[in-house]
Amino acid sequence: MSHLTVCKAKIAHANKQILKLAVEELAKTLGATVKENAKVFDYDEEAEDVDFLIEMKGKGQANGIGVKVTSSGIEVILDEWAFDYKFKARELSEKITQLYTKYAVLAVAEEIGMHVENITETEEGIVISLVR
Amino acid sequence: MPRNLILIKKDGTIIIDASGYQGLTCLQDLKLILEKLKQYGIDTSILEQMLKQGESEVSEKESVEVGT
Repeated sequence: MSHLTVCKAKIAHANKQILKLAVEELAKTLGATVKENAKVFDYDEEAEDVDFLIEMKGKGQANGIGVKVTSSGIEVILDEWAFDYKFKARELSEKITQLYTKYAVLAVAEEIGMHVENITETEEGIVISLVR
Repeated sequence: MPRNLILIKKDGTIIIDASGYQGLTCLQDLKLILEKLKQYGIDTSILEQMLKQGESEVSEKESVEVGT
């Protein structure tokens, strides 16, 4: 017997250690570095405290992409205009959520004694193969 | 060998395709995986579930909600 199960995931209380792995992977793809417990600035230098900052120079004082854990999930903060709309907060939020789920699945696999056989990225998404 | 292929889509959909299990132990592993994901702050709602036997899909197709 086996099964095919389709779930919808919603992140309610993100684990910061797992989120750090997700943010670091995203930063790597952007050629940027990550700073913890930082402030994200917009063009006008209005700052907001964030758990992680993907450091990148934008127009004015804009210094990158901020990521913070909130009670309702993961929030991405950036001045899209200051980066010529090269990055969209919504798209980045989806990517971070996807990467967060990947690292959470890997952590779960280790906890329950399943072996990670393979991880691939396809057009559909990230595929993780776990075996017992 | 029991195997779970887990597809994580950008829109938050997770598709778990389990194979190689004896009996209903695949559902025990599914329950365990979803419970553990919840500990990492990931709440999941099961939108669809199909049980398969051997090569051919049989019997059940259900829609259940958990942890929303």
